[in-house]
Amino acid sequence: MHCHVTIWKGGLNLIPLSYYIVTALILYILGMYCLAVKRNMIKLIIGIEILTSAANLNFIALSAYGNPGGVDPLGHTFVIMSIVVGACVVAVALTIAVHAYKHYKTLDVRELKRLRW
Amino acid sequence: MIEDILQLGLLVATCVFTVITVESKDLLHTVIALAAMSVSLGALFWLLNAPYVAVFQILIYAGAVVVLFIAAVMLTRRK
Repeated sequence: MHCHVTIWKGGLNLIPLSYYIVTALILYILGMYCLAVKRNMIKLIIGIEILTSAANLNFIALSAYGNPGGVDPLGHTFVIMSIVVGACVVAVALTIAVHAYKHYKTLDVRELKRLRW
Repeated sequence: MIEDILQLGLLVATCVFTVITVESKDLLHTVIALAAMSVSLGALFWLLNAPYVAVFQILIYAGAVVVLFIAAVMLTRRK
């Protein structure tokens, strides 16, 4: 299948693709571990960040290796959108975390047991 | 040869900084390790023939998002 390819002159010799996929998998697992186990609200938001970074690495690696001698710029477009949306998600999430800290006086999510003020 | 070492070294550095991010007790160390992870990821994007994405990553993640985290950490300090 012929995707839209940009011919890239002067790129380097790349290591096998599986190294990048394995690194993205490790980042996924670390992000999910952080999101599932940690108690601090800010650590949870950092876990979300790590997850989106893993997905971005996956996109860029696969769009560099899909065609020999070129890159597929569609993957790059998605990654730029993902970076921007991820930053907005972090901004809103940090606002919620700071507001919750002002009320509950703690950053521990296990203290947020009651649903009403 | 040197390119292979560079790519492998950056991949290992990304994983190491992520582990420091997840496991650190002090919140400031966590945020600084997140910045280092974003910068090494940006360098990896550069080596993978994606310079625009690398610039966006370093500008937004290692620039704006880390500053937001530091502001949030400073606002939620227990003093």
